Amino acid sequence: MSDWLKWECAFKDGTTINQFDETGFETTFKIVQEKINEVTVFKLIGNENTYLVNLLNGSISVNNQVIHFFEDPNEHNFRLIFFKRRLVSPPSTSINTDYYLGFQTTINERNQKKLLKITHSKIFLVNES
Amino acid sequence: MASTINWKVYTGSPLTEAPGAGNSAVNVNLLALDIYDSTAGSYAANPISVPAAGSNYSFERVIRAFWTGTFNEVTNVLLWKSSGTLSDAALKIAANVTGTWAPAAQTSGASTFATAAIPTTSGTALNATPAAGSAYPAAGYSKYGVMQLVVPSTVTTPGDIGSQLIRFQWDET
Repeated sequence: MSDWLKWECAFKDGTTINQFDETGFETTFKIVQEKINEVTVFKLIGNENTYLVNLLNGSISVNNQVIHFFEDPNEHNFRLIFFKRRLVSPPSTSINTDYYLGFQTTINERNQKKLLKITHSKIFLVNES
Repeated sequence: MASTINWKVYTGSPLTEAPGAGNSAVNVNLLALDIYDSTAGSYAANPISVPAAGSNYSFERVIRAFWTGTFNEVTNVLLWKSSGTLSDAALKIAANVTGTWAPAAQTSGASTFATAAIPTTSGTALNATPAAGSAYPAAGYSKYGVMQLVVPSTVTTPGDIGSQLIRFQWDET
């Protein structure tokens, strides 16, 4: 299985959706995308680690160690970024997966991204503007 | 949920896809024959010889990724060669990508489509993202990757060119 983290998502109305419910039923990320502007917190969990992006205050945390990027987060709109980057070498079908989790915000008409790149062995903080 | 991937190789005109449904190609060897080298042995029996002048060429090797499984979107599909040194500096693997591939016939002459050397960094990789940008939520193909080995007369080290590590990357939700 190429996926090694699972997600949990909280919304402004207080509801939550987990990728897997207690019965093991899996929800697709499309459900989150349909309510993307309502997301407040998005987590990735696995290998005894938790990676979290808080879209209310523009922070990212790893195992409860929080990184804040803005002193005045209320002035910004933070938009979720989440995807899996797959890498394979044909003709192999064995897929390596890195996770990207973070947010984008617009400052002075320029988009800025704060992202975690999560690999099996390391975590990188990626800044893009 | 996640995608799974199978490799498909194309030969002939009109194109024939191999291997069959549910199976993935076991190699993408470059050889002097327009066949899918299903045994990984045909390339040794059908080498591209060093010409006395000019260049000889492998047949264009045409591949696509075929995704199955469940996923929302596949984007940012990239193809490049990350490592592997050709056995002679004069050798070249040319490559290009296209959404449609319907030649009158595969060629063992110089490709008119795959002419530039395959990129060797992800930053300069070929973009093989399917035209629609995604295949949600059903199975779907990447663009065609077309590769050709160019063997000029200046090659002084004939023999196996060595394994080349081709990378194929995509972003998925």
